[in-house]
Amino acid sequence: MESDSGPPIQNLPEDVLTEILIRLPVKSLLQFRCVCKAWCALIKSPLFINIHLSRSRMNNKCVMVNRFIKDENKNMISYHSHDDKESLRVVEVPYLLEPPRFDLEHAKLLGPCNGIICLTDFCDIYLCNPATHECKKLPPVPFGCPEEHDYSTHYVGFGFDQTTNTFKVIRILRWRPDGEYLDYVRRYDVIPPARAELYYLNSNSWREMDAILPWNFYYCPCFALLFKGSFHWHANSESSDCILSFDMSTEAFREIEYPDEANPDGFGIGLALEPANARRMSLVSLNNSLALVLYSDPFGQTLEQVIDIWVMMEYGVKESWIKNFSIRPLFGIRCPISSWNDDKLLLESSSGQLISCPLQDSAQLKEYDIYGDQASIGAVIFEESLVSLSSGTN
Amino acid sequence: MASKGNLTLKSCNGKEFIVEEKVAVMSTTIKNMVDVDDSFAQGVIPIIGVDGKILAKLIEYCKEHAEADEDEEVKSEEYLKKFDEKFVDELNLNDLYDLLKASNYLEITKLLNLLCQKVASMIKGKKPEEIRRIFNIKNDFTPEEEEEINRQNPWAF
Repeated sequence: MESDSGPPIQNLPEDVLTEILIRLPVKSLLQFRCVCKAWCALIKSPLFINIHLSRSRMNNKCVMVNRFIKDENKNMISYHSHDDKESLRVVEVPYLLEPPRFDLEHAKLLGPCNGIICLTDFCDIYLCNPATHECKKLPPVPFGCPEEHDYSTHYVGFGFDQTTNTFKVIRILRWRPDGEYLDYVRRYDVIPPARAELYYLNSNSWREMDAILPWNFYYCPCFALLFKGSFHWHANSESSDCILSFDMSTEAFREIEYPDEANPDGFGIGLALEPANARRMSLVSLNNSLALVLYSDPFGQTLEQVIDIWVMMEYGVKESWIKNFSIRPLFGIRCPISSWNDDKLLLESSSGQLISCPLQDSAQLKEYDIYGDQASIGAVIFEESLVSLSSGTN
Repeated sequence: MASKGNLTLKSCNGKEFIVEEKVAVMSTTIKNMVDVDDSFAQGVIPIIGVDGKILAKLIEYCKEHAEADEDEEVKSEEYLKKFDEKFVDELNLNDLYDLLKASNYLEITKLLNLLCQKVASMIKGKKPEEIRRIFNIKNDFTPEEEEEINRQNPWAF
């Protein structure tokens, strides 16, 4: 034994060494892989990666904010720690998470899932692990369209299939005749049907789903949500609105009904007639339940706004929706961005500022020095993980 | 089983400690022994592989925490936090190891977590070569292998 060293750490049982190392941030663990072969094998093992991830979920959450700044034609992605659960502190200068020729203005962050996020401009799709800086561009879709047709991607979702241990990305697209999309809609008075394609990371390949989807999908800010292994969008079939979920394991779609009381005529879409009364909605996760956030547009800074939050106590059961929170009074809120720590909402103000508001007390609203163009701010609350994209599984 | 009685713990070098049962059963291993076999509650419980010095430290820790669990007024959360900090700060590396092994074997989860956190804080931000020196670890990589690992995430180094 060397005189200035302690006793060999190898004498400790491996589960004790695991207990020590899971408490370290990803950056340290990447360095410590070269301490010795035993450490390297431990840190790379799927079991260790999973235990570290579970611990991160509880302790090492990080807020990742993306926003577009038009004057600089720049999409900013920044990381913020929130050790004291109140402030947002920039934790590091972001490395280059700006893929070439990316449509920055329309870039969206999705996820997170096991520490992985999905970044898309609806043309290219990337999967990234922000903690390890690993980034993977999905291969182009190999399927063709009918002649003189093109396609456009409307919605993207992603998640992890625990049964086959792989990440999947789903893409909702429509074929359209060459030329203007709106021309087609006008000429045939219908929206072309939606289709779906699935990407599997373990085989790095796409699969075309057979059926034409009977739903129309509608964009709402802060709605696309990965929750309990399923991805969720706002959709409608025939006449009724619903939350449409896609189970990443079974690859089945499912309609989830809104609460009756929260479902006036077609809220979320077609609001032009009575904008002042229009109710908009977002979907977030609160205390391990789906939560529907109902809010109205900001009309001027003086009109009082109310945010109502309905929580679905039992997943998928319409009768279990309960109105849990009413946040008031609020002024100048454009839209929700995300839930945060189960007791707050992150919101975008009508001036494009990031703010947080406790569910219980709108007087405790906090403004952060983070701005973006109108409706461009997005945020994901992610946990650091060692999960790798190169093997396709974790 | 005498639920409020005292238990006798015997270290591997023959030192005996008489402790209140509520203190001893902070260890899940001891709790299971006492629950399963009443004779342990009456006689002497041998603590294999743990010497008197380390056993005394374990008992000191368990005593404070057992009393705090019983009466939060006397020993507040803040008091315990200070006690924990002082407890781990006073340990040298050898004692830290022995306590880690002992608290793992005796399943004193709170203490094990505290000690693991202490070691994690010690090594966070250190360079791999410093880790090897502190923990007396032999670098069994060839220079080429080590460089290959460094190349995978150059930004982390």
